[in-house]
Amino acid sequence: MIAISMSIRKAGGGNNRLPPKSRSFVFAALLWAGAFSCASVNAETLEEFAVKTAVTLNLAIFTEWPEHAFKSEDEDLRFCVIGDNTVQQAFEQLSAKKIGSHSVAIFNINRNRNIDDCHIVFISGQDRLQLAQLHAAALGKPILTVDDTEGLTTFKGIVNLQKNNDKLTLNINLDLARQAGFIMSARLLKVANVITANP
Amino acid sequence: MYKTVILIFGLIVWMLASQAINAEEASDVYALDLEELLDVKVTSVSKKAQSLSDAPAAIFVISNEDIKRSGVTTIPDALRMAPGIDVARIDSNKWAVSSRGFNGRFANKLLVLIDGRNIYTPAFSGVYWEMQDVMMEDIDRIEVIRGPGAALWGANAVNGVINIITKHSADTQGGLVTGGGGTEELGFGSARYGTQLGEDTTGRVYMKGFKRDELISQDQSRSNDDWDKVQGGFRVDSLVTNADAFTVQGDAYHSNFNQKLNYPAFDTPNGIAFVNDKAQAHGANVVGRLQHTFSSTSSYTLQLFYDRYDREDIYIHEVRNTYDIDFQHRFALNGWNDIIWGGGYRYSESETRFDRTPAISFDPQNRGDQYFSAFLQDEISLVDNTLWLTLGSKFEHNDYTGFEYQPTARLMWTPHPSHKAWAAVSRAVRIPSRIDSDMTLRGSIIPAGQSPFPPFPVEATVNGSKSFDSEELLAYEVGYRFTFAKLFSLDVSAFFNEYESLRSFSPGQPVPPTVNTPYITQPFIIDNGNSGETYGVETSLVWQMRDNWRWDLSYSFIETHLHNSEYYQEAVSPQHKVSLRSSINPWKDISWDIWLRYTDDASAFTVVGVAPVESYITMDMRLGWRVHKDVELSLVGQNLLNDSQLEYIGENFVQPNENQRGFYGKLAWQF
Repeated sequence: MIAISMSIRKAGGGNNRLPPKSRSFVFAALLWAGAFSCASVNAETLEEFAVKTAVTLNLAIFTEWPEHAFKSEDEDLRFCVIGDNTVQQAFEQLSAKKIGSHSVAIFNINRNRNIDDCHIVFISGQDRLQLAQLHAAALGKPILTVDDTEGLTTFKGIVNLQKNNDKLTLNINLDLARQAGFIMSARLLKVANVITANP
Repeated sequence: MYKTVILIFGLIVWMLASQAINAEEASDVYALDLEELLDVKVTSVSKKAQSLSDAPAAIFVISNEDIKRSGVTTIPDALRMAPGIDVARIDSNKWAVSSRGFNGRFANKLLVLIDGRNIYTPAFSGVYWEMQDVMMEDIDRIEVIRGPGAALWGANAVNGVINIITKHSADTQGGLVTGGGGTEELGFGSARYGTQLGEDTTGRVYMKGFKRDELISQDQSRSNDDWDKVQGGFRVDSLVTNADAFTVQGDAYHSNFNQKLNYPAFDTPNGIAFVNDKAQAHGANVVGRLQHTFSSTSSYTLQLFYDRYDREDIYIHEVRNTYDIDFQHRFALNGWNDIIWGGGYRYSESETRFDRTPAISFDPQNRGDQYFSAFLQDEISLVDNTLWLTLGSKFEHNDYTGFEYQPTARLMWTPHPSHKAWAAVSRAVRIPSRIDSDMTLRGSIIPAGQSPFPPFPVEATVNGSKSFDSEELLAYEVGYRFTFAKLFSLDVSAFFNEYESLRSFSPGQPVPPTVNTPYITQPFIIDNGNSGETYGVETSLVWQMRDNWRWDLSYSFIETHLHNSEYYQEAVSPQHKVSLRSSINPWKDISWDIWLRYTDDASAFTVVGVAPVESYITMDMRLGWRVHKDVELSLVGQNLLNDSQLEYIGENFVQPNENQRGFYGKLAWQF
């Protein structure tokens, strides 16, 4: 899949028709842009938030919620997002995707931060206070908290995504997950950095 | 010409379209399994291009990366990136900074906070920019809010609020040492070290210093305004419990600043004398902040700060102590009402001395003022996730004018995550400062030889008035934000501002000569005689043209219609302002930035009348080379297009000075 998308990318860049010669600065700049757009882009890279949404979707797939978390078999999986427009737009892509018998419903809870109805909360950014508030409010509840705060030394949420050398690392606080009644699949725990000493 | 424009336009559209195709690739990501996802390299290119606030106000954010890549070394220079903000250097250690017009060194309609600490001084309702500094590398972001923010932030947030926010100490772990120098930035250095102090406690300390060269006077003589400064500080952040976050931070500084000043004098033929003044300032502050969470929808913040400065130049020696406490509680009343309410108290006391010249004095010399405030804001969700109405008001009491109210109504509409529109109507006031109320300023002297009443010279003074009232603004604003294909964002806002009771002055009764004062004094009394309207448009546009190339364009237009009194001609800000930045990484480890700025004709207010400032265009450039993972070398050229350029003229005492072309090199090492 990546290969296909990359070839689209390259084709898009390669088709660039260069304008006729001009003395203007703007022209020179655009010409240069053309030259750059011909250059190929690093083939293994994907957009950060696209990857984060996909990882979070996988988290939902490989996590079992406690029974009482869903009122019915086909109830929506309420997926709440706190973050700027880039983050919100990225998560919109998950809307209506199926996880077992549940459909994903995306909620932007930037304004009214009521998390009690959420099955998953994804919180983006470096605001450590907001993060602490969320963790305090979600503690022990069947709410899967996922954050992407960089440079954390202690993990008080269930899942944390860190960027290390341009790749994502998955940190899972298993004690907190168990406390909230989650069962996480072995496949998930195999690829994650599992933290247990820090409930 | 038209053909060229069409061709360029076509090319831009084509590039955007080609990138829209690139952006579509994201859907493929869901076909990857977890192992593959954690193995793929990620880029955050679109994040940089696209992050836009969803607040119903005209907000522009200057990021840490913007500051670094622009090569700026001061907070005012960083603010030049924002649309709608007028920044001009008056001399080496003085700036004029304002939002939406009315610029001047003593500009008074802009509120500025550093980490929640209000740095505006009630001495003149403005900011001594030369005394404000932070470790530039530790700035998380600068939020520039144009338009009235008074409903939340209170009096003096008339035309804008600037929030300078430094990083959490957990994000500045380890060491950073920088140093460098050049032609105008003669030498500078800084060192910061951050460490973990406990399980959930982190801290940092820093020290910085610089020496800056003098500018050049407009007549090409020396301007004698070189200066230096040393500043140090700390910050500790702790998560005391899961629900209580505590921050304490502080700074202290000392600065020697030279200035070439003029003052009205009887003993010179033209009534003006000059002095090379060696001035100094020192100060310190400490801020404590506790944030407690009741639930995900309810939390409060309690903040206390103390700020002190001692600033002495030949005209005025002022020592000011400010004590402030603020409380703010946010909670969701129900599913559709989000309430913020709070209150605050401030006591600000100032002692002034005028021992060295008779040019200015305050009566009373010392005074302390109390400011009480309360505010309430309700954000009402009218249509889920689409339409919000915010109603709020600040209620204040101050010792100058008594009770003030400052309401706002704001509507935010987000029909689609890519489209956001907002509109607002607000009232704001600028309360009097000590110069409005207590000052007597000797503005000019007409020597006996040119006097209309020989043989007596004439002294013109500006006198504050205890009856001076608040300046009032009624502002109407609309805005729209748009993002396209993840790589392009546009932010447009327009405003119409109606001002009443603006400051002016009118001539009072002349005072005849006496034996002790053998001259005629013509006082001009400060009053609220001016009014007027301004309107304008501000746009900012970000285009991530390639993964390694980004453009930032901002354009501001302002039209000023003031009904001025004959004796007080308010400053008129540049009608057009453009800032265009290109940030490119031509190779890995190399960054290259070009920043072009255009500033239209403007006029400054001075106590002796209007002073025109001509339009100018200038350019900065920065070349950065990451020699090693932790070491970066950079070369910066500033104001490259002219040897020197007049940017502004101060209200009084300061001669016109020109900002010069400068180069500096810098080394930054982190460990």
